[in-house]
Amino acid sequence: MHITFKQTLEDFKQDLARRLTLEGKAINFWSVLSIITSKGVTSVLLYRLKRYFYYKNNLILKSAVRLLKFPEFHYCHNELDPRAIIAPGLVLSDMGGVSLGFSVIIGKNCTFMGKATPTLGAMEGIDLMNDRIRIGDYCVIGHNVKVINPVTIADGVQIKPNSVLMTSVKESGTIIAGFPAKSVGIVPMTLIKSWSPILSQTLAMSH
Amino acid sequence: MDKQSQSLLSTITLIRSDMQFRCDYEHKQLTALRVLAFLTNHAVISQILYRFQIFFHLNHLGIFASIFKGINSLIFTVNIHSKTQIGEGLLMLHPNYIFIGKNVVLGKRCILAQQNSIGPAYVIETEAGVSDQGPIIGDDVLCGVGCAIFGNISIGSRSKISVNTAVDKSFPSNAILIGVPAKNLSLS
Repeated sequence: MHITFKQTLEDFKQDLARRLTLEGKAINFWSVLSIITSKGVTSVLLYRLKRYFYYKNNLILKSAVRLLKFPEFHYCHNELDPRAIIAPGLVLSDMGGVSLGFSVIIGKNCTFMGKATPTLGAMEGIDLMNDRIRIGDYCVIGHNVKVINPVTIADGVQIKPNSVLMTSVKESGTIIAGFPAKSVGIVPMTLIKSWSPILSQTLAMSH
Repeated sequence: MDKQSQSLLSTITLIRSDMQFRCDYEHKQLTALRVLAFLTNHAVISQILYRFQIFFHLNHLGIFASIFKGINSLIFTVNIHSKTQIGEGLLMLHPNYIFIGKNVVLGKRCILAQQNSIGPAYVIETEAGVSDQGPIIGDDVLCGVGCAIFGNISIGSRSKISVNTAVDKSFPSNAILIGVPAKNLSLS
């Protein structure tokens, strides 16, 4: 697999743009400068860079992945594997604690709150090399949500805090909660596409 | 929540009441030596950083409030929004992944364990959207490890919230909450 630097920058631009629109800020130089040091944005930038370096056929550049893990873990408190496939528009909250394994495929415009961990767990009957967790577009994964089985999540699914997802979610726009997670309600996709936590300020932690 | 200015003396009184409650919790006397020992405790340092963050926020020195919040967030992974009200006698057991969002009100003598997340709701369930009012939690409430309290709800005084509980409804006082979503196990 080959990823160009231009592609990496283009993806990160979309991540930044979505983060700024969610916070209700205009997209200009000063708003980018004010947000670039926040833990969520830095983490996404480091993930994109790591992914670019990881798929280079250059040993020195490949070792940069290990160097970038230090700021990612000790500054952002997140761990995103460079082999995870994440479409542009990813937004992480500034809380940290997100760990994404290599077996995750995530659609565009997804939001992860703190301590959300979609990672294949050490469970019986899981093929760690071939099984994948597939998450659709416009999903919102709440605080402390664990996804450990190889499941498929449809578009626009919102997962409430502290849920543990064991089975696939087929209907788009579902709200799921509980341990094991069950459907609680359904919301139309148009409502989810306009989702923004500006009011509740759960993402930004801005002063 | 309207902004009232807070004097430095009342901030120090709040920090002292935190230490007093920690001493009561550990069955110890609050002496000068104990205060020195507390200043090496990272949970106490995290609480002091939070109290000063609120002091600077209420005295219209937002930049210092952000700096104190940033230190708290970077070193201890404790994220507390400036627009919160936490009463005297806060006890943080372990400052690890604690998130307290906007417009959250905590009463007096609350105990926060590690990995608590408290804040306004963000999951859209109706056409009306989400409100920015966070949970209002009474006095003497114990929040267990990894509990999540989200939404425009209120929890009564002397409630006990168990490990990994997700609370999204209002509960009366003396409640014992367990489960995802939370159920009240209290007999009364």
